[in-house]
Amino acid sequence: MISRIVTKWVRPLLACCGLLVLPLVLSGCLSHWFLESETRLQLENATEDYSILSLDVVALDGNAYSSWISETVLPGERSRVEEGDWIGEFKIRVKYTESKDASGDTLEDYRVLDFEGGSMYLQVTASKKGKLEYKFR
Amino acid sequence: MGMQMRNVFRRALCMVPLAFGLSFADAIPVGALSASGAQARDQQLREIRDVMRGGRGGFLDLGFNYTPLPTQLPLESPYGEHEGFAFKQHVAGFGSGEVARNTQLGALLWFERSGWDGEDFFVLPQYNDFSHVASLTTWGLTLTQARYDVTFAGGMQHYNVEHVGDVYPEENDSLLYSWAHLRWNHFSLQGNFHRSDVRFLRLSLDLESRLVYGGRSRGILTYLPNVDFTVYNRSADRFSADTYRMNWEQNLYGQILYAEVSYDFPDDGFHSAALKYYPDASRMVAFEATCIRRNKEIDGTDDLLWGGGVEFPFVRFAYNSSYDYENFFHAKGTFIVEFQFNLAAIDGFLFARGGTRSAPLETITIEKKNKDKMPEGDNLIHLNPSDASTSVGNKPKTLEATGIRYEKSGNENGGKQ
Repeated sequence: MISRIVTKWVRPLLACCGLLVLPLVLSGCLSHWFLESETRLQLENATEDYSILSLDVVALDGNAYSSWISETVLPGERSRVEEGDWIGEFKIRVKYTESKDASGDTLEDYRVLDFEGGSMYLQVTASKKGKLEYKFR
Repeated sequence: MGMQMRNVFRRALCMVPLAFGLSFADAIPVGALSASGAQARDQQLREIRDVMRGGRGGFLDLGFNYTPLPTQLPLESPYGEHEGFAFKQHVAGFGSGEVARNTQLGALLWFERSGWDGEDFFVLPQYNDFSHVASLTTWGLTLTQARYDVTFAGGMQHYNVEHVGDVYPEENDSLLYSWAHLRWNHFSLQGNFHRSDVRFLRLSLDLESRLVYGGRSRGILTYLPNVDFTVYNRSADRFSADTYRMNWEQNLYGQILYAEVSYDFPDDGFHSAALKYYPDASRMVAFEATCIRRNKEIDGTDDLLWGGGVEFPFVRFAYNSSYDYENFFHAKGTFIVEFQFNLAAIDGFLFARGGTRSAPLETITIEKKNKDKMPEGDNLIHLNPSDASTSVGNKPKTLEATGIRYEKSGNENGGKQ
């Protein structure tokens, strides 16, 4: 009688529980072995004569922005590492001046960048024509 | 782990569904998340209506959605598409017992936690700047007078917002609602209230005859429709004017093939339709093809979304199904996996929510037991006097002979069991 109950009910039930446990294990903790859920961004001003004032993420329609790095980064300097919940493709706005000491008119440069999450090191350089260029390293 | 390595892992993981030729995901809009509370409150009370058709017995439901990839259901905010995970976890239970002759007292609890988060957590979300995590609890007490086939149920609904990111619109949802449900025979009336305001009222005519509730197993009465009308208050939730919704569920063939149509009055017109095939009338397994008209306000388009799904005990797969579109934040363009299980029990019958006959496992045993006594035809009907109103009170005595059942089957199998 008992063995009958075991074969008929307990084993299938255990199998079903096993089926449910598998996705439980897969969700959450385990995926963080290879997925990041935040971006830790550090910005390097690799230009020779531009000062970077801030880096913000702007809404696609331009009606809103969210500041990310709000720190003046002089040529050759690096910013502090700032954590942000940005994972995906976003439009950034970099405010800068055409001077070595952050003086002068504030200019803006817009760019769409792909943030994959984790530690990201963004190097900003200037082309010969004076255009800002962005590279993750 | 270095970033290079991580990216290799990511790419490899993403290749799996790509290999099956799936297109990736449409993002879910923030508006669908903030409107989800009203939708979930409606859906839970619909489920309670279904379970209260008998007003007795028990019900158990467990489930959660599984979307393994962060690119599968990204969030569409004003800033663009954020990688992350939409989630829904739900559990529900109902149990009742006889407190006096023909009087059943019961309690029910429906719980759902859902939203969008940057991590695929199971208990603790990341709660980032774009997360939306909310839960809804519906509880209540039920009282069924079997002699008159009347059920009264009532209780509260708590909508609890755990975390709302910066990008969501102001929510027009407050925290505490009450609900009441009155059923007489095949008719039921349901109301959802916020303080003294009516949120919605629903009149349901579940005319179809169901064996599990003491009805017929076949015949013309099983082809009667299940119709419900709901009036949503204009000041509440997602509607800008008083809205009426009508649902029509129609048995097309032998309580295994159904059509469902839902229609909005006065302005919106056709809302959704489905063709559902349940290989067994207990509805443990389901195949469905669905069509839903998308919302112009949220999706920017007014077109038809076609999809379908397959449901087995413990797991359900769906693509663009109208159920997910409505109850899972307008999820579309990707395969949805839901690990889920639900089981209703009444007088020894076991079936999934909405089922009309008992699961085959149970039925076979009962048929064997009665084979000798019954000359031909519909065995089950004899166990269950066909008139719903008189059978309800007396029935349990004829079915709870589990000991006899084992004894009989033992003999037939040469006493091995």
